[in-house]
Amino acid sequence: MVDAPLKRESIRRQVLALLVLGAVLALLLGGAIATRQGAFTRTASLYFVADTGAGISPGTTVRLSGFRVGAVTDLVLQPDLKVKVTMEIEEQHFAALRSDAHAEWFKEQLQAAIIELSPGSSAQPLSRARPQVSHSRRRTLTEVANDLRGRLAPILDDIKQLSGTVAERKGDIAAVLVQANTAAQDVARSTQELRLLLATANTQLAGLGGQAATAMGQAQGALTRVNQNLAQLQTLLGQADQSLASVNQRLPALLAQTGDTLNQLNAAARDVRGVSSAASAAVPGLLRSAVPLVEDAREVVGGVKSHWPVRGLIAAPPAALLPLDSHDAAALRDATPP
Amino acid sequence: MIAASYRLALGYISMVAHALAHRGMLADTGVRDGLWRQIHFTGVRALPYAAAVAVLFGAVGVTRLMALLGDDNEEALKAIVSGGLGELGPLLTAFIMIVRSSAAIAAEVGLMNLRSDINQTLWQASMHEDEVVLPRVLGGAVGGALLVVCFEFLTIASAIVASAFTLGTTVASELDDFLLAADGWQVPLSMAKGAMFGAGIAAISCYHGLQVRRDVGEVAKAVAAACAGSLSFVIGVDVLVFALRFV
Repeated sequence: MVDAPLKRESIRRQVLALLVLGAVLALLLGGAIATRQGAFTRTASLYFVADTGAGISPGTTVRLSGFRVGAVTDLVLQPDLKVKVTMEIEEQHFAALRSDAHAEWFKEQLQAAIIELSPGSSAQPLSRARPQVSHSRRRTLTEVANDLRGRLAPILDDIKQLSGTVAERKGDIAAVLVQANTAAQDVARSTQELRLLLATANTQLAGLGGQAATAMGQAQGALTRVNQNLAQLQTLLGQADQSLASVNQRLPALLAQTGDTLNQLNAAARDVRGVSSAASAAVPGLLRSAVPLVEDAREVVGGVKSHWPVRGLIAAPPAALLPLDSHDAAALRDATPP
Repeated sequence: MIAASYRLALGYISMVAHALAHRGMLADTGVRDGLWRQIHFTGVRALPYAAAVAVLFGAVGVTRLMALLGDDNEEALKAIVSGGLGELGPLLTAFIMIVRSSAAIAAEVGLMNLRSDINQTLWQASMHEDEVVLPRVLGGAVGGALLVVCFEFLTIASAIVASAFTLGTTVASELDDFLLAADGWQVPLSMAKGAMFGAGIAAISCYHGLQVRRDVGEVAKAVAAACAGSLSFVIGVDVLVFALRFV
């Protein structure tokens, strides 16, 4: 059994420890909260004048660059029905504010209202005697939604009317769709044919290209030959020029000789004409006296041939060929070569 | 029903009034020993239970709420800190005191009443009675306040650590968010509520313990009545404080 005084003492020690612990924790907790919320920090006041104090209350957070630097401390309704909102921020941040500093109030859904300070860019610092900053209110999500609703409602009405019209013209639309489907199929077919045509054209163009290349080669060869011929022709022309030059040199003498020759020929022709006119008078009588001489000579030769030994020295004439289209014996006789 | 409630309320108030009227009895060694014992039982012995509940409440309840409402939602954070710590902290601590101290006080006082035959004469004159009510009411108040501040500290610590772990932030940033969202007056106010709850629970338990007159069977009824009365008192006071904020 534990001695009563010892137990009593132990209980007291434990209770005292708990008391000390509780006091320390309470001081620590309260002190930390108070310190962080600026209870022991020097603060500076500034204010703005708003058209309304809606959404603003003492304790509303004041932020600078997203960090909490203070809070709203007071709201006063002015005689002109505007609201003077006084804020207290940490002294060190007040020095950063310029004369054109701005306070913007905004509130997101389910979030607390916030006043965001913009330090401004003026060269003049914010006056400590009259620390007034400008103010504006950012539109809330509800206000934006209302604005959107106002803009979208007429559009939705129009869409509703359009959809009603479309519903009424459902049959026409079906027909249009069928036609469009057919047209689409036609277009697809046409596209396929075009594709085939293009493929063929490509093939033919490829062949034409080859032929063109060949023709070009041939043309180039022909041109080469033409060039060669032209060169030869040029040579020939040169030679012709030389020949013509020599002809030109010799032609006058040749013409003179030709003229003499012609004159001599004319004289010869005159002589021949005189001889022929003299012969024309003597030749007919001569020819008439020659015929009995010839007949006599034939009879003499015939008589010699038929007598011995001449008859044996002369070979018998070959049998005459009978003309195909004649039966005349005289013909056989006349055809026999002498 | 209303008459019974009225009678009970008067009885509870008489206990508190009696303790306040006899506050000079704290000079007595026996009374002071009773006070030490009551603080030890209500505060020191209950501390492990309160600490476990506080850690669980902070790590699970607050963290889940912050994950649901958003860790950057300042309004939600303020609501959690104010409601969770300012209201639920003292309330949960009071429940722990009801479970432990209320039943114990009622049973102890009831048995003392049976054995010592405490009667109206002694109630008026003897310091023996003062040993029963004053140290328990005062000890309940001190123990309740200490339990609340320990409960809140552990709740905040576990909530900050758990939030930093689950939300992927740092302990420093979570602590900063909490310190900005909390109000300095919440700590003394919640301690005052804890003290009020402790004193009330002790007074109610003493009242029902002193109602045991004839046999041991009445002790059980006294314990049950003390627990029910304490619970009603705590809820009633909490509702009253909540309503006073909007007045």
